[in-house]
Amino acid sequence: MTGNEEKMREVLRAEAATVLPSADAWSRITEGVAQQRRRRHWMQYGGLAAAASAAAVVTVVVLGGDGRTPEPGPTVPATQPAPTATSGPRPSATTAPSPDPTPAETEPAQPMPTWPESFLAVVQRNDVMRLDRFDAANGEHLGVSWTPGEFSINDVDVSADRKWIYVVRSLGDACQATIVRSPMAAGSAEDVVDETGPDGAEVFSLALSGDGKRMAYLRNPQCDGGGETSGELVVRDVENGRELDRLTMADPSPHGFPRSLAWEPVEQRDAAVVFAGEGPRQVGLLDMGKAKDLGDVKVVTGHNASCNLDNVTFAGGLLYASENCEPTGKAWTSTIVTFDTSTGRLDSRGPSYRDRYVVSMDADPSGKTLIYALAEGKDGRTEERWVYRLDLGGKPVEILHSKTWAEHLGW
Amino acid sequence: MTTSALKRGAPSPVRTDADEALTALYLKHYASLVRLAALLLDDRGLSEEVAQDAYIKMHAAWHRLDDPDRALAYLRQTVVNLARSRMRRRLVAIKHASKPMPDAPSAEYGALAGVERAEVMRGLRSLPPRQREAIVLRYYGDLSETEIATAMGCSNGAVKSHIHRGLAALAKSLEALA
Repeated sequence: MTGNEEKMREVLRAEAATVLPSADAWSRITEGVAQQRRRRHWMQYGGLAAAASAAAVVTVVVLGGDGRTPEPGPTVPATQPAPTATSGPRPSATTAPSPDPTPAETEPAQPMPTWPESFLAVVQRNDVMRLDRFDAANGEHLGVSWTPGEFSINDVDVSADRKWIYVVRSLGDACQATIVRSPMAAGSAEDVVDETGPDGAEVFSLALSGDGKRMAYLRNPQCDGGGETSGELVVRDVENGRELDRLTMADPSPHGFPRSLAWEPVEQRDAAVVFAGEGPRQVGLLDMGKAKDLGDVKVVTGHNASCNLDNVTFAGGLLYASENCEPTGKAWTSTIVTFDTSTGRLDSRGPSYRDRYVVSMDADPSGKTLIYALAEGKDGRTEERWVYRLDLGGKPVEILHSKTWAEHLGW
Repeated sequence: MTTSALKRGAPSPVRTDADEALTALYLKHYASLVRLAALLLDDRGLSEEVAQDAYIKMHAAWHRLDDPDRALAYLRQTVVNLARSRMRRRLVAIKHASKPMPDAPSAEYGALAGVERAEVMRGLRSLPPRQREAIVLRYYGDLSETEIATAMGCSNGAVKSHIHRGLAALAKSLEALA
């Protein structure tokens, strides 16, 4: 494809992304379908009645009657299908079609999605990262939402009102990061948190509170040592970046180093932290109001203690995580599992994938749908990704198959 | 409702194959078909109308579709045909209007895109309808020449020629893009 063709494609996609379908589209279609059915119905039986009247006139003429002779009942031509009892009311030839008495029953069921129209994913093209927007129904690429320039994107989250995108941006040096926010619709990005300078830190996970007022993120202030030696959970005001709370890592850390974070959106009290240590990755439930440090967590127990638990998110009152396992001599598997947040116990096991593993997962604001991305093989850093949408209680639907890297999904 | 009942056109409380297909196709493709219509038309309100009419027509024609897998192609073709017909009506209306239509991009577009991009879109809108259709289906719809030919009701060669001419006409504004 030539440069001009590429540009044409970009222009058309950017223009198309500004077109947002109306919310009542489905009801207008179903109303149109119902009207059409009614029209077909009345046309057919109207036609039959007209034919019957014509037959009656012919009968009268042939009999030489004066019109007072009792008319035969409507005669249905043998070639026409006779209406059945389930065919609905039969109008007379003189009766104007009336609205269908049971229009609601004739319309298709309306399993309308509760999830937002689009989701975000960090993608990488030619070694350059950017934040792209995709159609949540079919994975269609809707446009580029944000580009971090020469820097990289560590994580992304969307405010509950879906007006703002928050992005953790790493400024080249691992210990220099900022959190910026950019309007979902259009406009310029602004820095909200600055973790640069001599006291800079690595920032690698971000979670916004359900009320949209606070943000929590994980930072590693000792990242210049080249290892994961320290970790803190910081809570700030999303508007002005003012620090509201800070939990440091317990010393010694019983669970390992915190790697990622999710925040329960309704009660906003629980957070889930993924810890990476010597053994498999663990998930700890943290009471944001009571915990003294990052060691003060209730560790959840997966199906198999030798598996990694990762990619936490809250939905429908449950904690969702991926359980990535590599049993000896067997293929790598990845399973979506749920935990009861009050007990920390495994609640259920969902879809399972062989030789693929979940690399990113997020729940939509209504808590009824998940999106998650799968990668191939064990640490197989092939760039190929599969993105699934899972309506809770339903079956997963593959909505995107990308030949190139796509992670950090966010609704 | 069975297919035969659907053919009779009688109202039924039961969901049909056509209903199922309508729902599935709506969830999967409605947004992209509205966008396709918007790129073919100059009016976003009309593009919704066109996409919705295409779904209603597809539902009515469901029993005539030999291959249900071709439903999306049918929808696309209907969107192109309806957009073409709306454009014709619109052009007649513009011709007889006392004031010319504004030639500026929409406010949303202006906020979202640069001047150069707006220039390309202006150029696209001024192309002959067939060239515009071919370019939109090729570069927004990502369709093959054969698929475009089906949607437009013309030959593969004509598609190639429309795209080539359209791109040539837009070359200057495309090259001005960073």
